[in-house]
Amino acid sequence: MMNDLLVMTEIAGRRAAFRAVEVQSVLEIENVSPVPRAPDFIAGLTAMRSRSLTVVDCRKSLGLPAETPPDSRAAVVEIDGHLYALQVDKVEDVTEAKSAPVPINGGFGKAWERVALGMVETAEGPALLIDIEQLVSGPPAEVYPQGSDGSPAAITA
Amino acid sequence: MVRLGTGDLFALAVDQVFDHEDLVVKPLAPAVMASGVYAGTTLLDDGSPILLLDIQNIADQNGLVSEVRLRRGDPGKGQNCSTAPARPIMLFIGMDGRRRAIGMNLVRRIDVLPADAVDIEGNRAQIVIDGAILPLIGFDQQALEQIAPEGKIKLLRLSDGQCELAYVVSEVSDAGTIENEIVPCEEDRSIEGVTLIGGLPVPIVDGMALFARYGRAEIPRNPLTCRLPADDEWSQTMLRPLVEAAGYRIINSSDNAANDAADVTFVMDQAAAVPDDSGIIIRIHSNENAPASPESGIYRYDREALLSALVDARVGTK
Repeated sequence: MMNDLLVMTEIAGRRAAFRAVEVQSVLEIENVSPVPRAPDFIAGLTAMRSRSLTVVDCRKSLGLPAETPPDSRAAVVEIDGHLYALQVDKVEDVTEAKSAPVPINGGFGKAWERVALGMVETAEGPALLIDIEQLVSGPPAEVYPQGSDGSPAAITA
Repeated sequence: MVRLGTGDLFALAVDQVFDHEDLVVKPLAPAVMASGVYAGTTLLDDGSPILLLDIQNIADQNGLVSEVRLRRGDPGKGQNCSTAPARPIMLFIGMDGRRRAIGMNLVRRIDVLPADAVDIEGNRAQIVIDGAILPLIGFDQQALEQIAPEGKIKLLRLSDGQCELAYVVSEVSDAGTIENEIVPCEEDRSIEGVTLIGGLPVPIVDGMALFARYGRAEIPRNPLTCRLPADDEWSQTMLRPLVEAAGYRIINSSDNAANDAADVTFVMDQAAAVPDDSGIIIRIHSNENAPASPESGIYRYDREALLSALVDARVGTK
């Protein structure tokens, strides 16, 4: 884990990091086509090099308020063959991890517990290492909007 | 007008009908599929994403389907307004003028390219697309002669997820589904069999046989680089073809080394100085009887050991 490269970001005011190996690129997002009736944390679809990407608002995926518009730049990741653009408050630099991710006594706070892999030390201070798979799968099933027939929408993740 | 697999007939009220197109629909992320109203997505020519409505599911959610035997969440049924629960295929007319069909799941996109991107010699045919060389199929010498050198050719770009093939067609006719029985054909192994589509017999191209015959591991778009000593004749004549065949791009040590970091560097026994940006170093010696060890490296005619060192290097640098 030592010396792993991290993409530093800020999510809902908190310093968070993605593993650089998991980030394909950082994309300047121009147009986002909305997806009606998709979960709240799905901002919509956009395109990169003739492939479509699902745009995920990481703040909303954590159930946290998005107080500012997201950074126009988003981190592109691929999970199970699907491309995602992860929107955050701010995409910062790539930096080196100075420690392995460690758990914190008392946890990371309710919203973060699901996506946190641990706290890593960096030159710019401690950051929360994020599990991107958890991030794109969104909040747990019970908070999904209900289908119009009254049953919860199916989760096919 | 939409007829579902259950036999129900619907009309969709829309603000405006723009166009009628055949689309190659790709799956959506699970979180979007979970909304239950979309079957897939595709990009239009201008790069904007379009969502394909899952009429079956929408009708089902709104209690509009009469049958009890519903096929819920059956995504990617291929074509606008077609949700019949059958295997989606693309119909095309080959260069020989015959109708054929191929599984939609293999078709990545339809391309039109200038004919001079094609290189044919004897039984070998290849095409250059976006800087990569792909095997070209569906072609014969006679067909090539019909195409003017400045002409265009139409291609189906097929992918099995790992490697890509280009299939030349004279026309893409339609998307459809296999609804009837496929009658196997013993003589022609290149097809799965023949089925009736719209009352006409159509051979179904066997994707499995196609990729087994023509597919090969895709050469990465950004091949790893390997530095060879430029002044060493043995390296250039013997080692270079081997390394290139292993999928590496060669840079010579006399080239502007400072600007061109190598992923792998070969070092001959007598050479001592190794630049910092050499990546993984493979040492080679010319003493056949020297014991194999990490310090002495690999005997230079030990082809197996050289290839396995190159493979290890690829795995290690990825």
